[in-house]
Order: sequence, then C-alpha cells, then structure tokens
Amino acid sequence: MKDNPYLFWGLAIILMLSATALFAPLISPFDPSSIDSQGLLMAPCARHPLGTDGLGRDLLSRMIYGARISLSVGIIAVGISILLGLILGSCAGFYGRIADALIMRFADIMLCFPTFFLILAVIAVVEPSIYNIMIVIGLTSWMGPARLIRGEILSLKEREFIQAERALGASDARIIIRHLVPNAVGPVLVNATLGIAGAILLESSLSFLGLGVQPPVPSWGNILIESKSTLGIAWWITVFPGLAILITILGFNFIAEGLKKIIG
Amino acid sequence: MILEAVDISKKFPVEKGMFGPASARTVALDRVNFRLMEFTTLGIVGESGSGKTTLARVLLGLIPADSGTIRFNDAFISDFRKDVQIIFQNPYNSLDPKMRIKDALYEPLIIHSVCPRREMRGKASELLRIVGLDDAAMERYPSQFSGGQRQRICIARALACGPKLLVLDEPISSLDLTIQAKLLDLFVELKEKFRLTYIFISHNLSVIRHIADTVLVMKHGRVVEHAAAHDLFERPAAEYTRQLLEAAR
Repeated sequence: MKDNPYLFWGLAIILMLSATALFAPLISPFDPSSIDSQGLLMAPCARHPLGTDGLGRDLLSRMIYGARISLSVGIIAVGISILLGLILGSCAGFYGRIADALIMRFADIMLCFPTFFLILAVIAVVEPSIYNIMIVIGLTSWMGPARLIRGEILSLKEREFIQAERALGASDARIIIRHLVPNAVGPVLVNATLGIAGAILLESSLSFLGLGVQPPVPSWGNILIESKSTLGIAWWITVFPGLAILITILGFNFIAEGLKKIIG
Repeated sequence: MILEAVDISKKFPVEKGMFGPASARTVALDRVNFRLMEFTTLGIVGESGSGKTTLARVLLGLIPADSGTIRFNDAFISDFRKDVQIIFQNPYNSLDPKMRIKDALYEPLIIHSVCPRREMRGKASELLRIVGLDDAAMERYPSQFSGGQRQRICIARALACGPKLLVLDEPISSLDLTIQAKLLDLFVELKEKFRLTYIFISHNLSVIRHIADTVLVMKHGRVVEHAAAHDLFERPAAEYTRQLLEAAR
C-alpha cells in the first residue's frame, strides 16, 4: 500500500463513493425528489452546499442518490462483459481452431460497430431503463476482456503445469476453470477497472441524450442534461455532477494503474 | 513387458503457410520402436532436438503421434491416465502458481476418486513425507519453495494416483549438483518401494549410467542404438554412441 500510492488513492476514492452510495438515505440532507418552490436555482450556500436545481431540489442529495445509479451501472455492466469475455475468450484460447476462429471473428465484427451508436440503436428499440442499460453495455463490451483472456490462455496452456494436469486426466472444464482462468485473470482485472470507468461515462452520455436513466430518478448523466437549459445562470448544476464523474473515473483509473504495478 | 512402441513417427510444421497446410515440416520422431520391461528403467539419451521430449509427450498422450502405436500391457496399465505419469524438466513451471501445495496434491486424488474427501489431507501429508517434505508445506504456494523442493512436490503429485510407469523428462537437469544426487537417490528408493517402471530422459550420460537398465540412444528422431546399459557403455555399437561417450569423457 505504502509503495503503491495509485492503488491507495484509487481505493480511497472508490470506497468513499461506494459508502456514499450505500448509505445514501442516511447521509443525504434532503429527499432527492422533494421540490421546494421557494428555492429554485439557489447558489451553493450553508443550507444547500451544492445549491438547488430548476425545481428547487437539493443538488447534493440528488448527486448522492445518483452515485448509486452510476456505480451500480458501471460495476454490473462490466461484470456482464467480464463474464462473457471469460467464457468466450477461454473457449477460443483453449480449443483453438474453429472455435477460436468463430469467436474471434465475431469479436472483430462487434469491434467494427461504433459501440455508442450500437447501444443507441438498441436502447431506441428496448425500453431505456437502468437494467437494460447495464445489459446492453455489458453485451457490447466483452470483446476486450475476451481478447485478453484468449491471449493469456494461449501462452498458459503450453506450460508444464497444464500438461501435468492433462497427464493426471483432468477434464477440459477442470483445466480451464481451476487452472487457466485463475492464472489469466490478472490483466483482465486491470481491464475491468478501466471498463467500469468507461461504463459510467457511457451511462452518463446516454442519460445526457435522454436514453439512459429516466427522470425523476437522478443519475449524474441526467442531472447534467437538466442543467443544460440553465447553464448560463446556474453553473453549479453542471460543474458538480461533471466533477463527480471525473473523480470516479480518476479513482478507477488509479486502481487500474495500481493493479498493473502489482501484477507486473 | 509393460509397453511396446511400434513405428512412432511425428512431424512438426516449421513454417505455417498463409493459406492451407504447413509448407515445411521437421521430423521429431522417425519410426521409433522399443519395448519396455516392467520394473526396469529405460534411459533415453541424445542431444537437444533429438526427439526425447517429443517421445515422452507422445507416450503420455499429450501430443498425438502422426503414425505408429503404443501398446500398454493391461496387466500393468489398466487406466492410462492414472498409471502413467510424467515429471517435467522445469520444476518452476510444473506447479500451478495460484494453487496451494495441498490443493495441487488433492487434484489427482479428486480426479481419480482415490479416497474420500475427509481422508485427502492424511493422504497428501503421507505423500509429502514419502518425498522428504513435511506438513508445513501444505498451506504454502509453489513460489515459496526451491527448485529441488518443487520437484519433490511434483513427484508427490505424480505418485498420488498410484502410477505404474513414470516418465521422467530430464527431472534433475535444471537443479544444482548436490540436489541432483539427492533426487536421484529418491528416484531409486521410490522405484523399489512402489515397484515402478521408469523412462528416464537425460542428456547426462553418467546419470543414465547410474540409473538405467537399458538405454535408448536417439539422434534426429531416430533410435540409433538400444542396448543394456552395461553393454552400451562398455561396447557401444553405433558410431554416434561412441561420439557421445567420447564427448562426455
């Protein structure tokens, strides 16, 4: 920890944010959707540390609840993409030949689509809910993890301990799950932390376009879109959610950097 | 006789053609024939690239031969994956770095249902004792052991399912001299204790002379000479064997 400041600060930031999200009802000073017609667009003051929005809702409370959405979208979306990547990548790497060709060409095809527009197209068809967003982001971002896992497994499977395991009569599934995957996940973990940052950004972008989390549920992205119309007179509604996204992504990037150092 | 190898051949592609099959192939094994008697040690010698390791992997079924057959005697080898085991040259690569020693030893016990789960710990500790290690090793990871200790762990793992034939692929070449001697003694001891048959691959002629009953000399994937160890070292028949002995002197 001491000689790995990236990991330390990354974890500190993310743990703090996670705690905020987890204990949102306890720490948020106001109900995030309670409207106060007397206090529209109030600048940051003692009562509202981050000011209020166009409907007089407390911005700090909305951002605290927004952290729940942003973090869970990031983590679950990446969870889905890692799981898919692990399964497809290890099959491609382990079985080689036709399985490898099919899976990796499919990955190449997926990579050819501009992800953001693919997601836009899908969300336009299905209902834009937080769960659909998690699933769609997950389904369109497994290619990176799959390639990483495949590469690791290609080099691992020739190592003697895998050969020894074969000589012992271990099944393919046993070799993949008990030996190959545990030894291959290191780089994928680094990739995953970066992926979470990407997914949070993606959710914000989608929400900003109105295709993400639907109001009145607050997410950092849809707070940003609501701030657009009042940007000239209420800078705080734009700046604080933007800062929150920035800090979160920085935190995950720090963790990735720190993990890279440990894994080598 | 525990096994008979008949006309085993194996070629590897050297360059892969951009389209279609490989354009060139190198011969790793060229019609290799030999018979192995039970409870004996067959030494295989030859310079690097002579096909020794390929032969070991083909015997273990780790890579398929292009042609030829390996016949195991049912009386000794009934379950091939249980009765034939291998020890590799590089002990630093032969154990899963992410797995505790006890779990590595449990692997063969689980795969072949050697014993019920509650007896596995006792069995693993017995295996460690047999190869000269103690229970303290159980909870540790491979990186906490020296090369010689790791090789002992590999031997324990190979012995776990009660094999009849052990293929030792340069098992002591990457270790330092004093440890080499100790491991060699261990191999001799284990052979007596468990009535094992060995195929011992080495490029070190004095080691082969010490441990082998019969010796197979290989060159460019071909068997140059196959004779009783004593005869081979005293009266080498093939010119290549003479050169090898001369070079080792």
